[in-house]
Amino acid sequence: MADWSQLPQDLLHLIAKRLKTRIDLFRLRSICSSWRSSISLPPKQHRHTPIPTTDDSKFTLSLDLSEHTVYLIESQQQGSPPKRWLVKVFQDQHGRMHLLDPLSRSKVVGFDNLLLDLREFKVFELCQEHVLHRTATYGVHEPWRSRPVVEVDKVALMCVGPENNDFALVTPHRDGGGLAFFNSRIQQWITIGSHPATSSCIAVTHFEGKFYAVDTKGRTISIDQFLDSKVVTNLGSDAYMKYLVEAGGELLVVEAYLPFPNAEGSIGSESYRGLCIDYFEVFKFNKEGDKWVKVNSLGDWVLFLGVYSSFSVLASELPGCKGNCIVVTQPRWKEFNLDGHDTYVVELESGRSGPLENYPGFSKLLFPGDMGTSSA
Amino acid sequence: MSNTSENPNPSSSSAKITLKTSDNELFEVEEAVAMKFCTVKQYFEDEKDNDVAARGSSTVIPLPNVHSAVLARLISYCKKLPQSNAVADNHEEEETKKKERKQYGTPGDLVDLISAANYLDFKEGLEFFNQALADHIQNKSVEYVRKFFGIKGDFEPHEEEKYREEYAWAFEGVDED
Repeated sequence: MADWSQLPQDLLHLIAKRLKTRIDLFRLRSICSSWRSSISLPPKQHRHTPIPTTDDSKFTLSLDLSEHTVYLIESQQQGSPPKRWLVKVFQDQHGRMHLLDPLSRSKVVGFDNLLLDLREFKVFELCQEHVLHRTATYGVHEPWRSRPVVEVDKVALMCVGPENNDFALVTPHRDGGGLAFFNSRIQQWITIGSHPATSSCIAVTHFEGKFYAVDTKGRTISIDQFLDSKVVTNLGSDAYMKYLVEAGGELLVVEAYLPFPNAEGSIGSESYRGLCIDYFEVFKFNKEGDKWVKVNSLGDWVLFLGVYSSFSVLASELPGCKGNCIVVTQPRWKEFNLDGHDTYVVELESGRSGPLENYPGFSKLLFPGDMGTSSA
Repeated sequence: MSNTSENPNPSSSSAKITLKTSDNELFEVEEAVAMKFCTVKQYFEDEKDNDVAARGSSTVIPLPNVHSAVLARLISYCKKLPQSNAVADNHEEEETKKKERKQYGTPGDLVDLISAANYLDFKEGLEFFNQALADHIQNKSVEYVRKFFGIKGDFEPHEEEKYREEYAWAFEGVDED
């Protein structure tokens, strides 16, 4: 049999290029010493990238881009059925790893000082999420705002350039209804969407090499990396929340409706408990006709709708979980302050829904309570 | 669909080129197919320039680095190239392509096919077989990949420790912001 460890370096290089994730590259480097020396470390991620900004006279603004990666992890203990967990991992600028709730940015408690040896697990990289931290530091003339104000924005990011070393991103514009576009090569912010700011973009994603955004009225905008933007279609809806998510090669928009108009105010109140969303509607994007088409069933897909990004997984990949379901997270308030997030499962077929703990399959998946047992 | 009845490029249908493999087997292939191999194309063109004296189609091009079994598979892959190299634009198509790649299965076969495609400078083939290989090792454990390739880990203990570091997630009790 051919000796793989002696495969010419340039060929190994080409094969490594075909692998999609950093985890796979790390693994290839762990095979043997000749492979290790042939395969260079994967390119730096946009884990924590400072982004230039224009300074306002009143405050100094600093922007930092962070990258989170969502993994599906399977334990490989012999003799017992495989267990799987969904985790979101964030590595900060000091190289420290943090385990986050896959649907928000909350830290998963009880996993500090945990060491996972990835060789003991099967690891599938599902997707990456990017967020932009805006830190506004006010000057001396506003002493009452002595502490910097940190806000976090959702971002859609694509790698661009010949070696994918650069990136382009869009994020909903803070002041006005449009989008803000940034390209790391030209290091410049550009505002997109001169439409009157009667509505604002609430979901952004990338799909097949383009950015897509929907605003509160359901207007759908596509933007390519060269900044060519157009309104592709208009859903014309006033759903409370909208999510863009890819499933099985299709771009979906999920619309979340409140039980009665103007219910939004009551969600922030102390007395409100439980899922505030009455029902969901799902549409898929028809590229040929540039329009949204209603979807009645998600089939075997499960959609995970998060605060900053959304993703999909086949139920057949998730032990104990049903397809045609939506897992969604909702902020929890305490004395008008954000006090974390609650997660709910919605079965689209029956319309039933409930808190995550009522669905053992999903709650085991999202809360890796027993993951540590197989670690060193 | 038969290959002989429907030739996409009728003008070259008559021209045949003979390739000789490392085990001295002769392959008569259509020029259109042989020209996919840049190494052959280069040889053929040089030959034409040097020796116009009508040896023409009887030219035998030696391929000392390619075994007949491998060449046969490359040629058969070549013949169905147009379909298999289309860009997959949806999930289903990608799945079909994945299945197609799986047929070229065992690691031993793939190393031969990749080396031969590389030697012949056959770009589409090299991409295809590299992807087939990547499919096999994506999301697999280190042990699986070692077994798949028949490679033994040869790290010294201190090196092993180093790659372990690369490969471990240590979650620390430090706040993010």
